[in-house]
Amino acid sequence: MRQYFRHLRDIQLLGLVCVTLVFIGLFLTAQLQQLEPKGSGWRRIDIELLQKRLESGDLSDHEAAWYHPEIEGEGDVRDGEPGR
Amino acid sequence: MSTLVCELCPRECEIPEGGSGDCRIRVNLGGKLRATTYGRPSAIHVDPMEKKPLYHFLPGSPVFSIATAGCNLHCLNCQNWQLSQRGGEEMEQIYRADPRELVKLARDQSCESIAYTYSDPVVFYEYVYDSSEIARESGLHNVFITAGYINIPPLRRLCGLLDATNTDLKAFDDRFYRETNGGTLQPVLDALVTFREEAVWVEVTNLLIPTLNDDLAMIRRMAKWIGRELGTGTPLHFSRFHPQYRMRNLPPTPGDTLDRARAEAMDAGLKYVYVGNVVGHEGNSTYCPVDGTLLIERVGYRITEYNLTDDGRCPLCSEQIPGIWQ
Repeated sequence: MRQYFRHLRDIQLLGLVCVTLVFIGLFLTAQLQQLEPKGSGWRRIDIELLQKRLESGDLSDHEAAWYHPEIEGEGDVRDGEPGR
Repeated sequence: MSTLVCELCPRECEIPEGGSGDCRIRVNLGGKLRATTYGRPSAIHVDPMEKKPLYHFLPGSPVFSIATAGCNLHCLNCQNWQLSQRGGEEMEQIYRADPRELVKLARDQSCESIAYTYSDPVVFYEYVYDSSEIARESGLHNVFITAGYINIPPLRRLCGLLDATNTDLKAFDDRFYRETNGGTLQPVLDALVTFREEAVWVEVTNLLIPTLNDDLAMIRRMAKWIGRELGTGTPLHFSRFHPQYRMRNLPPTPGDTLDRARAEAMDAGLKYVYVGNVVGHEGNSTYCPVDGTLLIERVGYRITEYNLTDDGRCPLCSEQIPGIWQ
């Protein structure tokens, strides 16, 4: 009986170690993903807040230079690779 | 729903309707790309030119310095992250200063130059361009303090309006750029060469971070590249790292690391190598590369002694010191 409980404790400890390792692995993966340069990156922004601040004049809707509409298939060609 | 491709920087973000580029401030609204911080700086200061740092460009002169929110790099050690890692809509402090007002403000403050700085002026390109045009017409100089992460066609177009740049060369290592800054090395090298080709006065800053980019062999390769591609008269500033933002696990750069880096770069052929963020270091000052005469003594951002002739020569041996002195 005592041996059974010791065995159970070992399994519990092993399980705890495994869960901890999985969490560490997930954390590191998430961190590494954050570090990767985003070649064709864009961001979701709080568009309502942006509109509000545009309307109040805090921000500007000046048209930018240096852009073009995406041509079909363009994104596939670049495949997210940063820095030409 | 039209997706737009921004051509400004090497990321070339593909931005769907309602999204922003990676920089957070170039936004696709109604199928047009908007520069949302145009004329809306979030930082305005009058700094000494030495703070940029530019040591061979109008020394001691005040420079009207501005920045908007946003950046196209994401340095773990960013010292202006409250400004650079936020979009315009997230900023509490936003001033209104269209290019003409900006130039007037600079003149009212008796500044001879405007510096586009603090975050990275690449991302507020249109504001820089239009302000620079008016500033130049008004007899002001334009100074571009950047990490140089920009595509060549827009940079070349802007260069015609720029007088000087301090460009941050964060490391001579692509892996460092990818892991620490979220960028790549080659576009920065291309930008530096473009500045030189377009006759913009160039100074280079390298922030030395303990264990990450302080390898002397790499510093030597970087110095050799600067000497070969930009000229041995190009000032190089080694700057001291202080732990901040997402990089608080490393200590400040030790003084002897800065000394060794400076010695290595000078041994590799560079004539003007400085040490920054260390007040009172002999590497704050400019010396004649021929006879060692103290030409400009600096303590922090202050000039305490100035011995250059009016045309920028050593008073003893008449060696011409490269730079724009007046």
